[in-house]
Amino acid sequence: MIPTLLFAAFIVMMLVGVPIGAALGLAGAACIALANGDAQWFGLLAVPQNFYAGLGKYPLLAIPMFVLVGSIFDRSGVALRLVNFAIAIVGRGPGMLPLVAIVVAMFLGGISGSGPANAAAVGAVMIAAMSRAGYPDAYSASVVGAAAATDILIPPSVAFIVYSVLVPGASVPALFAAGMIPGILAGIALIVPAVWLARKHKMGALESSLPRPPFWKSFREATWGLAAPVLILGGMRAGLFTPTEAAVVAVFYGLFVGMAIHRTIQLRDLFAILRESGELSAVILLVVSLAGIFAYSLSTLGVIDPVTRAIVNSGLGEYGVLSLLILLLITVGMFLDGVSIFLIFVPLLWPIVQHYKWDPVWFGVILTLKVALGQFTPPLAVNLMVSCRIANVRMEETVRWVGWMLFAMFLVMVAVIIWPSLALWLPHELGY
Amino acid sequence: MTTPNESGPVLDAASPLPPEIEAADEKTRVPLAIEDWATVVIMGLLACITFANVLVRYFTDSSFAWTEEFSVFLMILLALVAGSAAVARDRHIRIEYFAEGGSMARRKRLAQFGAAMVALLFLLVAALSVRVVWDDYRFEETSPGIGVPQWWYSIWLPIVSLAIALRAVGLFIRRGRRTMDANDGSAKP
Amino acid sequence: QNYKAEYKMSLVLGPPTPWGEAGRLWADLVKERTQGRINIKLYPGVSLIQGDQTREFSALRQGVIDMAVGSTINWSPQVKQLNLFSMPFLMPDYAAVDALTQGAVGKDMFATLEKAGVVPLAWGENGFREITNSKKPIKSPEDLKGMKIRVVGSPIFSDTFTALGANPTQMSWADAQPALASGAVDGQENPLFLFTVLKMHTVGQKFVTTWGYVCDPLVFVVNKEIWSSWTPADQAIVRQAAIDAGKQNIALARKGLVEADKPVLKDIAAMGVTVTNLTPAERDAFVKATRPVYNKWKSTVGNELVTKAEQTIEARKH
Ligand code: NA
Ligand code: NA
Repeated sequence: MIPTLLFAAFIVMMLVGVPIGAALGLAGAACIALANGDAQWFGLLAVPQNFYAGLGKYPLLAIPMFVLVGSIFDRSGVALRLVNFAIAIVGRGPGMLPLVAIVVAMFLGGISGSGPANAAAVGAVMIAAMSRAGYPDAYSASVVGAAAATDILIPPSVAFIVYSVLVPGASVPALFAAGMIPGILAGIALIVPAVWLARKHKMGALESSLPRPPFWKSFREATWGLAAPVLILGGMRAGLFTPTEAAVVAVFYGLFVGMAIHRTIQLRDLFAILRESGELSAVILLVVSLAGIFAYSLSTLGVIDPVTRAIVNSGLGEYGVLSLLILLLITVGMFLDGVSIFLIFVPLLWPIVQHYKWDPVWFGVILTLKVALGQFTPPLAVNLMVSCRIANVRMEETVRWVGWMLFAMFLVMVAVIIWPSLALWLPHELGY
Repeated sequence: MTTPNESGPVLDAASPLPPEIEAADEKTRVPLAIEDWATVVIMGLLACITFANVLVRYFTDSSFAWTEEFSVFLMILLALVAGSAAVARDRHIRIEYFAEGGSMARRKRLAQFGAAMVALLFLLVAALSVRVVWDDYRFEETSPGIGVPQWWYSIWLPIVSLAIALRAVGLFIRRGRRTMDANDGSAKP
Repeated sequence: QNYKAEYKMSLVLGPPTPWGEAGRLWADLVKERTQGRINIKLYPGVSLIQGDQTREFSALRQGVIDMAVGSTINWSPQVKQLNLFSMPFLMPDYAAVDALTQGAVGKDMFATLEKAGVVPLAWGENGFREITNSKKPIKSPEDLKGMKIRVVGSPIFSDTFTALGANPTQMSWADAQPALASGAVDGQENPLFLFTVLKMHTVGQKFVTTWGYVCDPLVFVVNKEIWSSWTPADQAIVRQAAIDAGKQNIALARKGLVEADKPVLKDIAAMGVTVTNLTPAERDAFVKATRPVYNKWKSTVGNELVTKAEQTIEARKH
């Protein structure tokens, strides 16, 4: 009875537009009070204790720092120079600009930790350029939105940090390493439909007439950007710094490049950068801490075990259950954001993961691939929201293009399910 | 299916979006500059402390690990303080797909309901955490890292939670006043 | 009498560690002897408060947790007297540990815990904590110089390792594992059974030194309201079950370490790990280096209590 109330209250509140964190916290608190009627203060002291303990974790500090990195690199002028350099390499021709957009988004993925920040940085440069070359704006927005989704797979990634806090068996370095190959595969998979669509519909006809940037000059200008992922990922790999410290090193590197080299960031911009990244981090962190109240309620009500038993004894088999989970998550992912999906579903699904002895790192990559797909599956598609706003098109217009890219990335997810070593080989090789 | 409007919570938690077009803030009775300045100072401190840690360790082969406890405290304070501004700006993650449809009266009521629930939750957190602070104080609990009195840290939980609740009340009042533009759902003063 | 359908027991480690077995044995004995009147569910990993070990005691006092088998280290932020067991090189051997917990000092400690708002029932053991690292055999404080060591719980550990010239850093085990694997942290200190259970040699820990600088007893406790909601007969059952489980837990924690040939050390050496046993003279160098920390913390813990402990240890039977 109380467990039903827990979920019903949460779902109803969420659907009528109550902030997700508040819905989690209130549903959790209500059920704690109902289940502990005769305990001291109705057992409600679990609310502040779990709220505080859910936040008081050092690894979470990486989240505001990587959000800050995204905000800084967005304005550092690195994206523009990377684009010029990429064009200098691949040259001009039909389908080349969408290819460049995807490759640059993947490269920025090695610096930033979140999809929409990436979409904003790449979109600001690429959508106008693609428009000049004759690509339809809706198509450009689709390419940028989809390409930016590789960001949460390619390390660093805020999604992996949240997952690792929820799953102590999966460390941040192992998850970061595990996301690398699937992230690159996802990028390559996106290039195929992007270029094919461009050629098939004869888009970008003007592209070949545009000037090609000189190689060495554009290389020289791009070096500061090219060095950033080396610094971040290399520094972590070499044990020079923890993920949090890597983010902070990237913050100061990005500020140096933006303020002293490219001169795109002024001193007075710092207020806006710090304020907006602080507010965005708070929005994430509050969901994390309020979900702690929900998780306490969930685990003490003893609902997870019977539900898990029912699922694993349903006769669907391991792959049947996995397919069902993915179907469920894809549906949920149309409406729910990534971190909320992690916070709500990881505690629920964890006993199933343990029952089938699925590798926690592999499962984290699968979940993150799903969240990446959700970032450009309408109607709630944060990356598309950004790229559509920059391109000044409505999201409906992107559907005819985005479907192909969703399918391509979905195939990558299927591949990682069939061949887990696509995710697990690199962390194993690096000794995590 | 429409592209959501600017003032809505256009965030994915896994992937925060820097709103490059700063939507003009609605007027609030207590200026948001309080939270904004605190946010900027805390973010700056967090970045500088962590960076200093890297430098000191790199150059001197020693560390000041004790800063970790303080950094975690600053992060909690950041979540609360900047979260308060996000409540006032209505930027918290929520599903607006169903809430932003229907008649104006319905949308207004749902917006008010959401604000009321936020206020209720944080009033509860504020009230309950007073007991936590009181326990920390009367049992002379010390922090596990540096060993300072724990209530120096926990005292901020009820204070800022109350501030969040009040911001939510403010949002409730403003949502009650506003008349919706049927086309884009954005606020009209 | 109002009994709950299920009581929540918090643990840091689950079975099959001696710590986890302590909780499992206690729960099983209670259920059996009360004919199911008192049902206990284990929550290892301190999952009832999001894994935050150092808030476990507060949560216990406030009824967020009903009962726990907890470590003196994790509870020392709330009960400063518990730092006694973390004073470097106070307890030279198991006889000293037993003399403290089973004697007058143990009784004093229980009175303190009672005053701090919980009902303590019995002692258990996590074990002597030994230092491991990835770089070289540690034989003297000089060997520790500059090493980054992961510690838990209380500022006394930071003080101790700083006095030895090392860089102590506080983190949960979840963070420590990758930090050790990547070399961001050089070493850690824990009871030796954890070395085997957590396969620490796979995260680069190639050197073990048995210096026995502190021993970490466990305490079986129940929340006050929960305790008074039980009949006196059931209270007696729960108390006796805790004492019985504690005895078995202590035997488990010492298994392989009290026998003459110390099979646990052999097992660890068989993993390709260098095990260093200190000579009395070598150990003395560590004792001397950490004396200032000992003296500083003596007043925090309470001069009277520490003196009593010193006298008890002096008078122990070997
Ligand atoms: Na990334
Ligand atoms: Na979506």
